Amino acid sequence: MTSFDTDHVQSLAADVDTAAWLKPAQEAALAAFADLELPHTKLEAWRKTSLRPLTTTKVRWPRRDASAPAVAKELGHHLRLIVDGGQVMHHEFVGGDVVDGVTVRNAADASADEQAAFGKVVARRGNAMNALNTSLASEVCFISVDDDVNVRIVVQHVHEEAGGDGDEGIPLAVHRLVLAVGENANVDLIEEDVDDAHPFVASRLFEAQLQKGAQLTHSLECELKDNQDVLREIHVALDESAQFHSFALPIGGRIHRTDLNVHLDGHHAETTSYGAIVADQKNLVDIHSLIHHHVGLCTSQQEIRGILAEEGHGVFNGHVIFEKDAQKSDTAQKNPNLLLSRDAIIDTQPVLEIYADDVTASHGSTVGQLDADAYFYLRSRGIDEDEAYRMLVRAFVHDVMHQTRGDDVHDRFAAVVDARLDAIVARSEETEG
Amino acid sequence: MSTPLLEIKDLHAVVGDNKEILKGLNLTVNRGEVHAIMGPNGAGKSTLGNVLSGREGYERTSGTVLLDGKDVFEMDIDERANEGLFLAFQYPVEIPGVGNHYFLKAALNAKRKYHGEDELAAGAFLKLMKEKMALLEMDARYKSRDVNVGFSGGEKKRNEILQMTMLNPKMALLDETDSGLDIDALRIVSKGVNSMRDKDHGMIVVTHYQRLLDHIQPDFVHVLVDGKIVKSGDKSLALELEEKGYAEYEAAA
Repeated sequence: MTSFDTDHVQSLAADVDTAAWLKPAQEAALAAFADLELPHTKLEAWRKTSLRPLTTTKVRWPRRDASAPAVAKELGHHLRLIVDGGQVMHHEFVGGDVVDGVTVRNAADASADEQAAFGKVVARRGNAMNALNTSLASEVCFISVDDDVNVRIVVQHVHEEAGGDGDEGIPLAVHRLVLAVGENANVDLIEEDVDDAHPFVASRLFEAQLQKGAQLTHSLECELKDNQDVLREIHVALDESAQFHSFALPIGGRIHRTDLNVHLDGHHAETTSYGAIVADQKNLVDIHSLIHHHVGLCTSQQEIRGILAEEGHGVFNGHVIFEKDAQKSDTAQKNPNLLLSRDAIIDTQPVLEIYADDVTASHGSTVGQLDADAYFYLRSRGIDEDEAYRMLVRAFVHDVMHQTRGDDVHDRFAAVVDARLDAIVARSEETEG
Repeated sequence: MSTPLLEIKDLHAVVGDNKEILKGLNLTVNRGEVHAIMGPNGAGKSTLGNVLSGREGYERTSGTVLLDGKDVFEMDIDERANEGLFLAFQYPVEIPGVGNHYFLKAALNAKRKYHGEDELAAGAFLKLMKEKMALLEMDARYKSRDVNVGFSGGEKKRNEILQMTMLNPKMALLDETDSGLDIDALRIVSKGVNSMRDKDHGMIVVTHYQRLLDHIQPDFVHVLVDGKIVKSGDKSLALELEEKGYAEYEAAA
């Protein structure tokens, strides 16, 4: 028996006890997963990302700790959600008053609209992994933001194991967030992982529907250890003039996969997707992105940088589709990559699928090493070899860090990525000895 | 007589594919002196700066260069800088992702560390930077912009001079700093250079044109042709070159 085979998933699903209205959807998802099974590398979307290590990883439900610590200091006035082992353990407004027009509910309390919204955006891209998430979502978090409301939301993932690590398997954390953003509302969502050494496997799915003129900023930072796996999906649908701005910083992990799915459904909708992949040691960090232009007069922009060191493996697949009606639209995509060792790998693939005749599309992937001229320039100003190298490694990522929204987010994320990069540089100096 | 700041003796150097560019160059710069080197394209003007600073692809084949008595070829690129050698580049490099003030701070602190001094306090650094930027009439926004990214030609040159005035090298070589500058920029850059002239500093100003020397008055002018200095004189030599060109020297070389 392997861990993600149908039998084991079914036995895990048997323990899921959630709202009655959710049961049919979960049963259908379980059937879908049984049918599709865990993806393998013969499938186009998983060609470069093998899930084989999961099949030998024995997973069990987490033993959550109700006193999971909050660590979001600063970040101003926000709604804070502490998610332990995939489940929202508590939520509260910090740094200011409760913001009217923002609700947080679980499945049992979900409104009729929220129930209707569950799985709606995801269904447009149904696959084995989101079927797995749906079937095993023992709790679903619904956040709804009324028209014209502005709010910052901070989601923190922790993996506290009450009673310590047992030898009977590692925890499987299944997280599901359903966000509804009303007309002209503005949501600034920050999602981060709290540094934690426990091994875990996480399935995290976030789906959002943005009404007319709504704006969602999603700033994601997730640094993993080499005994942690995260399989993440983000599904966002945009009505007319809505905006979705994503900044993703997935760092490390044994298997760290992000599927970003954006649907531009209304005219003048706009999306940007920035970020960086950092993979070192034996990490596998993958961003698969699909930006789907269904209607005209929309724009999308994307720049994902990759920094690969040691035996790190990065994957970027940037797929953009323009449907027949997506006239007068444009997209620009960039994927610059920096390889710091001979054993590091980047697989980069832009895919443009265009059925409209009046669109502007550009894309470019580059793979390179550090700029020798810049290195010389720094050294000619007295900066030593190690420091010049460190500065340029950081610079490669910092060049896209400018795209984070909010100085506090920038500084927070930069501190995480800098520490990781500095550690890579320190190890490389040790090796050179 | 004290040790010369820079003493170049019979310097031969090759570039890339072993093409000899410097063919026995001799030059001595003492404290307090400003030397101008003029010469036609391809004479080896830029090669001199690149060889002195240790750029890859520029190789000394024979001859010696002493910086304040120390052999520069025994030093790494950054050591040469920390010993007080500065090259203002003809084509300054853009470094996306590195903020200008972060870069300057790293450079300044590297030099202090090299000399066994503590890092400069943040406040003192900012004050120094503000003062030097005011001298060079640079807008405050250049402080936080990435090094040379999106700077015009003139702004890049000003940024070179900003680095020079902050690092305060004892020996500076300005490689065609005047190229591509309009009259205002030329005046400002010269103001920065002149602010460093005193009895302790030495400078080499490499240029094509005499007009820079109206602003930075040299003590000596040298004509560099085919990898060698073929004539030296005072600033009147620059005026003569402006009038007659290099033909006479090129024919002789």
